[in-house]
Amino acid sequence: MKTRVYTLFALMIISAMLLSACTMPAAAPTGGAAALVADQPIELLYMTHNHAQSIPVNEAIVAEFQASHPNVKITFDNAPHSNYEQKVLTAFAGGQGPDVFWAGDWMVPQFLDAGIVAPVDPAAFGVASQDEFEALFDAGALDAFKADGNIYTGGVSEYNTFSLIYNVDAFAEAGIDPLPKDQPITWEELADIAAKLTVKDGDAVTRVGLAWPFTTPIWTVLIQEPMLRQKGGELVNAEGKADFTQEPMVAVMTYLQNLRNAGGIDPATYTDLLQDFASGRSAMIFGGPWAAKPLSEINPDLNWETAPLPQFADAVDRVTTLYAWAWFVSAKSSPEKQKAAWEFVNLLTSKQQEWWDKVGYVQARQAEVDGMSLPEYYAQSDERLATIFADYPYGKAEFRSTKYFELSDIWTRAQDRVLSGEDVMTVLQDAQAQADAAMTE
Amino acid sequence: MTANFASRQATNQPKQPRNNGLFGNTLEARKKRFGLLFAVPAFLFFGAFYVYPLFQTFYVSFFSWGLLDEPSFLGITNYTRLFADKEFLNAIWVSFFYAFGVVIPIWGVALGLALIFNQAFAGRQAYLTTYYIPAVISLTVWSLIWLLMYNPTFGLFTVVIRWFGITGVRILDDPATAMLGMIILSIWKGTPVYMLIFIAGLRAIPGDYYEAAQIDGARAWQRLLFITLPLLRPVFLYVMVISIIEAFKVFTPMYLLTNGGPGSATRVLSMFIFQNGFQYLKMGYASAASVIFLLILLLLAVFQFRLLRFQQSD
Repeated sequence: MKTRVYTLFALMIISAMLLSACTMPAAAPTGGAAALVADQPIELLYMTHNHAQSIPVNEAIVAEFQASHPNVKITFDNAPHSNYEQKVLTAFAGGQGPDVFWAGDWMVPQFLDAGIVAPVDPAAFGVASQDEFEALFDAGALDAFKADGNIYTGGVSEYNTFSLIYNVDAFAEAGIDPLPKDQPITWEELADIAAKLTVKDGDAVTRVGLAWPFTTPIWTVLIQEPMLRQKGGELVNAEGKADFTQEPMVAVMTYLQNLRNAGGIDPATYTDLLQDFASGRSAMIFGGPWAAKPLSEINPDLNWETAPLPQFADAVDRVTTLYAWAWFVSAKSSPEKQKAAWEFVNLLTSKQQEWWDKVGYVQARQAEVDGMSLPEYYAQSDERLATIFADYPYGKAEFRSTKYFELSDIWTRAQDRVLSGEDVMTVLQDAQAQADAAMTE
Repeated sequence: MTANFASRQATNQPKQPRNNGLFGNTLEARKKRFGLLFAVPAFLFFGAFYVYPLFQTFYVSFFSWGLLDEPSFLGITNYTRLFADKEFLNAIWVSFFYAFGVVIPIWGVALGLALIFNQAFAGRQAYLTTYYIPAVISLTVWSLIWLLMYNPTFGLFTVVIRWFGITGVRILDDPATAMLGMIILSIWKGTPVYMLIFIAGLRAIPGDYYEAAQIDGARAWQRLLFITLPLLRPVFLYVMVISIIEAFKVFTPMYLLTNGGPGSATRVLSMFIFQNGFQYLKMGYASAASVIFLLILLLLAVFQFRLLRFQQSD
């Protein structure tokens, strides 16, 4: 009896092992396997993150598209922002990837490496070539989505830069003049101002001078990469190698350590970017046009202003940050699905006014609203935004690497250690060793 | 006569042994098979969601696989890389530090509370319910509550320690204290569950022993030392095994409060595996780390079970 049970158990284990081997995950199937007849029903899966205000807008556009394309049925799926990218990637890995989806520009190298995004079909946008398609958008807005002479997006769903947003009353209280709107102050000046704005009650910091989400890797890149570039550095060089020990990186990290030592920043006090700022717990933050609406909602009495992103006194170039979420179409979908998907994206990108009025997302596809260009229309809603829009032309997209997530984590860990007071060079050498290990795989 | 002889011969033949096993033909065997039928869904669930992924993980650990590309065979390279990876070795150390930093105080505090709540006193049920509240709050919510508690400006924890003259503490922001912060919130969260297990164990000890000891003049500490603790040994060992395994599996507080930082001060093994697998898409590498993680847990469990067997035979 025992022998039989053991035999049965052994057989189960062997079966499981064989099953494991047989079903070793392979790359998701490529599209175009079965050609669909033009009028045959087409089902599209559209996936976005779950930013609350964007959901009704997406749903309305889906309904409008389905009404004008009766043979197309779109399933709209949205997932929490925090693990959205992982959900998209695992869906593709399981062969259930979406046909149309949102993703950040930093994902492009990974998408291209895996062959899961399709080059744009200009015809769906009513133009004949990719050049004409690009001309529909702000200059440079699609740069992050180009590779091998192709553009791999149907348009930008959210187009952002970071400028300085500050509390005017806190400035007045500290005896600091409002910042110029047409000329950036230097990072060195910002450090002095941040230290002066920090208020303590005994050992408790009741207001910190400057704050950003210190433990969020993408914020590390968005804040520090423009600083690095102003100093003439690049995290990832042309050969794709990361360099954490370059002089500009040492200078940036040393600057941050000094900023911390002077009391201008205090990561321990951070809870939430906008809540902290709106409630007076921080006096300055970095933010884009998206910040205006929630700040007014959280605290309508808050007296805030904007200033251009600071630049180093010895900057070799004026650089700000630029990042975008965009609409992608899956290269794994059938040609018929891709065709319908691009037409759907055309409709999505042509709703510039809705995206701004209802969601607060800046669009890169040019349009006239009430006789105004989009930046004019945006600035009309809040004139403080004009300063932020003036920072866009100096923006550069984040570094390109298939190891984006790993490198941004390494960068954040290095920043943590530097802000904890460790020796900058030792920390950066450790970061370099980790980056080398990551890049060699 | 002939018929009688034949029937006698048949009676004298050696009896076939009754096969009551799973494949037998008796009523008992049929009952066993019937019982097994009810267990089939559980077997299938266990096979599909535990056994199969386990072997799949082991298999993938020999490949380089980025979820979206074709896997390529690497042999044991992932394992050799892991043992040269300072972050992985740090994650093992951090996990051990956290696990034993949490479970050792939990054993003492949970047992102490169980001994108190095993006594009859006014308001016992109300106190017991209050102490149990952390156990019913989800770990995510609990972590976020403690994130606010640790805030160096307005956090309750900061305010309380300030009463004792301790100032300038930035518990989650300092690599030297961040793990202590995780340990404190985990002890608070984990203690009530183990306290209940200890209470159940205490209730199972026959009252006669205590009465006899009392008649013999044993004092309270002697009853604790020579009756309660020895008889609670199996429960204690069960708590040891479960609590250590649970502590090693921790992920949520580190993910929500520090993202493994500052630096890598709170980057436990489960977080290392999650980041490598689902953020960096290094599935083979993460699988190899998972296999080593499993081996660590198995070794700990085997050690504890051997201890249990030794104690029982003792």
